[in-house]
Amino acid sequence: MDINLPGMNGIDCIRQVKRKCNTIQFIMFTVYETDDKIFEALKAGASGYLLKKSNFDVIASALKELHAGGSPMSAHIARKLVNVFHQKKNSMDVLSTRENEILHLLAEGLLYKEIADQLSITTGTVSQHIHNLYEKLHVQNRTEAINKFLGRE
Amino acid sequence: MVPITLSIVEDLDEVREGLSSFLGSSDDFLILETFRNAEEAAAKLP
Repeated sequence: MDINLPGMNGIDCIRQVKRKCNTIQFIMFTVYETDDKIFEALKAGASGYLLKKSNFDVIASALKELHAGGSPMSAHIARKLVNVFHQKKNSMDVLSTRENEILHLLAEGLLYKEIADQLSITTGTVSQHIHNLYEKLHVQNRTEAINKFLGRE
Repeated sequence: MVPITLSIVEDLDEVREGLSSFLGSSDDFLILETFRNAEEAAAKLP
């Protein structure tokens, strides 16, 4: 499946077909190697991701691997995915256990008062933890913190 | 061995036809359909 197609793109096509038949498998075949395209395609239901510069033998092997239950990817794409997970883990590692708990609750949409009640602490303490975690994550507000937590930055 | 059935969605003729020709020449694969655009593919797949 190519991504850049006239009219509907390949990623939207996968979403539509997957809704009809979840067992069909897709492998992307594209020139795009940006993180957003890779994640969007995989979230839409693609099981593999090959760059168009791959030679025919690689393509044939990838299709067999896909059919056997694997998720073939160009090496460069696999490394990008690994790097994203490393970055996400490292940025969250700087938070304390309590700050991580509070960030989870923020991401669930809880208000300061609700977080305080749930953790049996005061709203002032919640505010202090949130101030600290904003500083550690280098973000300015709740939305930025949650996006960083969810790996959307 | 039962061949792996494939459909190809690619707007560039030379790429689509090249893939179809190469993969179709192998006993390992059976090309069911090729599509130039996603709308047609979304309507006919699976």
